[in-house]
Amino acid sequence: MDHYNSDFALVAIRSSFMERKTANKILACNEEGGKYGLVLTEQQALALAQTRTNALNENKRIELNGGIVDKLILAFCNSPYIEKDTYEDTLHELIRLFYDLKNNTWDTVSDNDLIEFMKHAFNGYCHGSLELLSGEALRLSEHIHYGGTMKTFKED
Amino acid sequence: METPDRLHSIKAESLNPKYYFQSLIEQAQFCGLLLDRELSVMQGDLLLILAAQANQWSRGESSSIPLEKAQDMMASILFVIGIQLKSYQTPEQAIDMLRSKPLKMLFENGLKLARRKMAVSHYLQKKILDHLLNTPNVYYRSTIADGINGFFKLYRPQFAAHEIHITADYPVFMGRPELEGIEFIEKYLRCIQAENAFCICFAPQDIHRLLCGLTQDYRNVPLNIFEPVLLSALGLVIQERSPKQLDLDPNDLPFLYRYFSAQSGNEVQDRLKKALFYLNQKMDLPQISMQYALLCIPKLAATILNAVKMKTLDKVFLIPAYPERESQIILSYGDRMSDRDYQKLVERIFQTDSSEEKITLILNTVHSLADLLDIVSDTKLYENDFDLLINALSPSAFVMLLSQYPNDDFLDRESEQLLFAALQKRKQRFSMEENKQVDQTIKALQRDEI
Repeated sequence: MDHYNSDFALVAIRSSFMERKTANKILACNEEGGKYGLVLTEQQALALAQTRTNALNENKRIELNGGIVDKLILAFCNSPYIEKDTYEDTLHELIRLFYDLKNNTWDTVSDNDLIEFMKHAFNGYCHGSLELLSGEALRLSEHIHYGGTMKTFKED
Repeated sequence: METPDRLHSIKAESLNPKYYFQSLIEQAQFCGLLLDRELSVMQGDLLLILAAQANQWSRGESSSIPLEKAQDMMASILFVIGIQLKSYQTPEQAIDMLRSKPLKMLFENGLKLARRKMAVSHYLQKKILDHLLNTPNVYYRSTIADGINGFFKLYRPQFAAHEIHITADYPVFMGRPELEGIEFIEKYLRCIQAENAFCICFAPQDIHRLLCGLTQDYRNVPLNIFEPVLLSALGLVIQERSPKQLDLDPNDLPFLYRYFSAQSGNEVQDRLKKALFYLNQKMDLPQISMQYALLCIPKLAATILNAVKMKTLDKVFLIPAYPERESQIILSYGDRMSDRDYQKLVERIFQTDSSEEKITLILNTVHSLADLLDIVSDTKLYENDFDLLINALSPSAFVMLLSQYPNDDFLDRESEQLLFAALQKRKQRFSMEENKQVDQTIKALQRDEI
């Protein structure tokens, strides 16, 4: 009898329409990225949008309001550690890391604070290393799990 | 507005009260009352409502939320819209509203209705608690007071309107309402209100005796109180006796067997209805209880028919028990001897070889059960010593010891195993009647009634 479920409308969110919309947002960031010689092609933008969809699925999350990929691009495009050749790959990793961290911090940290944390750590202590950034993200997650907050988290 | 080709109207009974909105959409599509295009628009509108809700939930700080949370929120949104849709007179009217009004508006109005239902449920609970039946049944008060208070503390219609949060342990006669969230609580409280209003027409002591007729442990059993009270009252008026004391006796049962046997379900229902109207004349029942009892008649009739068939009518029309009239046994653990005297006694037992002498010494010196339990563990008594000691004990001391060792689980020490064996040997020599009395006393001891 209880075959009704609440996925009634949620399926629509994962449509290719959403990916197209995200790709357009990514392409719109080329104006700012171009100042630093970082420009993405349409194909690259679609690939990043696909990574976003996969990361959301893997982390069992759903995005309803705006999205963060464009915010991530705008926050990282002026990083001294990102070059033209590694730009796309770095963004793929940053997108995965963001949603992973969002889950691991139990939704207690806002999008903006999380991006700010990633940017600060990447450009500072991590010196552009994504591996070190993952370690920092793990440390932040543990800090939150022990009852800490973003404010009380101290970087090494 | 384009109008779809109407195939036939929606049958109200085909709608699921728990998932009203979803089932209404399903039926509307089935009956050709809703176009696919309209459904797509609705799905889009639902996503917009969900997005707004998620934004509110994350205080605007997060663009994504866990899928599980989103599913919960969507279930809540659908439930809230369902509350609003149920308020229309017919399913067709509800569909018209769905097609003509923005979903967001239906959601907001549904939320207002949910909050209104919360206020009504609060009021209902207060009214019930003001005149709550005085009963030792722990589930009654704990559910109506503590359980429902727990619900109000946790309930958040904004994001989780479909949640019940509590287990609602006390079983109402009409069964657990097939509803969700505040609709469940409101219906549950309305049932309790009608049942409680009926039960308080009788003296709590009479209800206590009636339920003791089922089991004296009823205080710890999640059983419905209204059913046996109503049936007992009906059983009495059927025999033209006063229903007030709920005092059916075993001689009434043969008549009730005859009265209900060889009757169809409808005939039993008719007879119960007649009895109920007669009961109402005699006792001037509250209107809410009378209406509720009428709704209960089909279920009561089924119970009676089944009991007649199984010859278990005594489990339906309960015969009250009077625990206060049963003889009470007073047993005491007695005064313990001083440590010095106890030490002396242990030493003397160790110095004595003969079993008879040891036992005489124990019986003459020990006057408390606590000392006796210590002695049998501190001195090395043999099988023969235990047999002699147990056989020489007074019946009350024997039963008291027996209650301390109801089975041989976890008896690690040899002295305890020998004591248990000796107790069982003496018990096996009892007649059936004596064994029954012993078991009754032990049960009473375990219930702390002695």
